[in-house]
Amino acid sequence: MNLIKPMIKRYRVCLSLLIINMFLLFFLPDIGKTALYITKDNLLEMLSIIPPIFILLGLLDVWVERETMMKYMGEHSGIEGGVIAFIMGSAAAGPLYVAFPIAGVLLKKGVKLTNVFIFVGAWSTTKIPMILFEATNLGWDYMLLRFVCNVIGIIIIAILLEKMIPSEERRAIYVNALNYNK
Amino acid sequence: MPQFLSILFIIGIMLAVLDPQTIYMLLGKDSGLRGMTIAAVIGSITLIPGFVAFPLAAALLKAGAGYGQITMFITTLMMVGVVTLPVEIQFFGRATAIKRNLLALVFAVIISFVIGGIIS
Repeated sequence: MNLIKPMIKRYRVCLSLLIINMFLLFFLPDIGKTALYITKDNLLEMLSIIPPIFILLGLLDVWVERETMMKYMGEHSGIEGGVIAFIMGSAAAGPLYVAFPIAGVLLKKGVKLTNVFIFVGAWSTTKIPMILFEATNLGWDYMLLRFVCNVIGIIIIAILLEKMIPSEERRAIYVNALNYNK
Repeated sequence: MPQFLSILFIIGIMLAVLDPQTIYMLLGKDSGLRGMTIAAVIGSITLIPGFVAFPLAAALLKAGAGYGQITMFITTLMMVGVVTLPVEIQFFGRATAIKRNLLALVFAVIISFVIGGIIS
């Protein structure tokens, strides 16, 4: 009994969504059914993506020394750090919400905030398989034009965002990353 | 984990309601500035994987949607995530997560007008 209560509390949003979906299934069977199918497909896809990502996360955490990471991507890493962050993000696979736990590990390793944001930005838009797919669907001209704009945009967003964060909040982000384990 | 599961449920329901025909109706021919706004809203709140989004975008273009609207849709889809905000907040904190999404939205507006202006 004591175990079930916190479980329900933790999953309350999830459970209410499930109930909404059940209502849909009852009143609008078409939409309800499609919704459940899509959820199932996405769940399977996520389950196939998440384990390797988490193994990678664990390895990154254990193998790469904080000092090494700080040297190449830390506060005084300069442009190189940004380039590494960009390549890391672009070489990735998987939806954006998987990038945040990885960003958490990068923060834990003392990577500069600007570089973490470049990583997240690159992950969101310049993933290599994705831009190749974009080119085949929308044409190389469109893809290249968007790619150039995106690279500029990602860098500007990262720099602006870093400047917009007050120092106590910055400290809180790093402290939070150090204490995060789940 | 509960958050990931909730996100998956929301995506499922949202995509079931917003099927390609509905999206086309909203972003189709001559939707103009209103289309831009709708594109931004749909792109920000939904999470459509790229292998669905790009063919959809190509189909929309062929059907007469503007490059501006399509760019807005793709860019917000990738960079702005309202549904994934809870996960983002866990790692970056509320203020920073919201700022990142707002900046991304501003960027989406700029890039849409640039690309919509260059290709037309």
